[in-house]
Amino acid sequence: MILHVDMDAFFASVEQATNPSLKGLPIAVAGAKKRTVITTASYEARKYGVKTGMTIEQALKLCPNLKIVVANFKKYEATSVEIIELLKCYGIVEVYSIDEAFIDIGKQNPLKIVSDFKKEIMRKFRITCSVGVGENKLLAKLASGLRKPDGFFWVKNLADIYNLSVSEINGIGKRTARKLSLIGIESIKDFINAPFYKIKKIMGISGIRILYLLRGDLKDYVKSYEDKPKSIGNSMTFDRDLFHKEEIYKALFQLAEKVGYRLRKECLEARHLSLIIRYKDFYTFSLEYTQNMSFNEEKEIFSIARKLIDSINLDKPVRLLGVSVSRLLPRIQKKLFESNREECYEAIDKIREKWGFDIITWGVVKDKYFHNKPISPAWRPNKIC
Amino acid sequence: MYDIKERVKVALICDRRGSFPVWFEWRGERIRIEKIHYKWVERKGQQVYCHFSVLSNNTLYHLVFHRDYMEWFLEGIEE
Repeated sequence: MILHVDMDAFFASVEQATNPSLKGLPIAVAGAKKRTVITTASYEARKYGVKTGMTIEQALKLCPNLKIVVANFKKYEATSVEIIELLKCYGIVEVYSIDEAFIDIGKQNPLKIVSDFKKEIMRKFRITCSVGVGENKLLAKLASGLRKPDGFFWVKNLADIYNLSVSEINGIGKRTARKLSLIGIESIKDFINAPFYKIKKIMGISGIRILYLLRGDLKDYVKSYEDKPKSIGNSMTFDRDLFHKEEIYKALFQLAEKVGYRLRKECLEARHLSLIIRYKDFYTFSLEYTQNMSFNEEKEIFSIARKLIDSINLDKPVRLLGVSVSRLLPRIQKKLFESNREECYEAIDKIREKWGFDIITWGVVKDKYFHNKPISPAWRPNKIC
Repeated sequence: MYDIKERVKVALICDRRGSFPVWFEWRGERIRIEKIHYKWVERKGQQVYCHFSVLSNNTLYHLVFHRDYMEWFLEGIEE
């Protein structure tokens, strides 16, 4: 049996637990900078229509009494790590995101386990979670969303969820649900009974996988280990749009530093780089580059990214930059004639391991752009993101 | 939350449940902690910072203990 645990309005709940005077009030957690959006809204705020992704102005129009709390992502990460350690007492845990995890409890009765850890999470952290139970991760995740907040739902028979909309299924968004609806597939029952070719035509192989999972013909196992990544990337939204090349290069180097550090931490090298650029008007595009020689040093990552950005005419101010590397290979130790440089990077990485990433940087990055970055979906305990 | 970021003197009780601040001195005033609302641990590299959100006289204080240097800081206040 698999459980899906989903913390309710996690960031907002942690803030309300930290400062009980906020309990029962509509609050929203947002970034510290001027150009920021709502990261999470408490359930009290959601009643007014406040949602993740809204600007603060939009949220305040809907709920003038809304209290904005500046996000403290380190606090949420630390709390998540403790909750995950707690959940490990109950079964094999796969961390899905900072506020979600799957637990494989085998043949144990879920009722007592869920009751136990819900009480323990409330006692230790004063926050609630919603739990779904199912034969596989897909069903468990679907179930956890059905009775939020502080909910519990066990999919014992598929008939329990037949009447739900297909958009409740993880992996089927609004657009796909609309396409399915055009061919008469609206409910989960319709989806399960639909012919393969119809699902494959709209959703491809991922649709067939979902179908097999729903029918119980496929198992998806809870993984307690992390696969090696297929790509590594970092991006930054600037609190004011950048126009001058020097500022853009500085930001690019910071991104290259982070990506390089993460690559070396995973003992990987890359052969492909994608540079993502978003203009002030939200027009977004990427530039790509592949080379035969693999790389993992920030100077090289920056050099490639800079060549890409110099190859185009930046005719509008830049709102966001992202650097992502892929076609990853295991790192080759000590390339011939480059051992000094490798030792330099080893020393830098050791300093960062001891004192944190931001303790050291290259001299070219003076007046580093401070980025109170939100938590990446790729966040996992003990991972650098 | 108003940023303070000043070093403070803190009295701690250690028992089987863990270690908890009981009062601290800031700008000549001794502030008795009525309740610890929240605590969490932050890691920067291998540096460990223990954070406490504590209440005294309707004011919320954010205390931080840097474990390696054994130093306490008052990070911020919310009234």
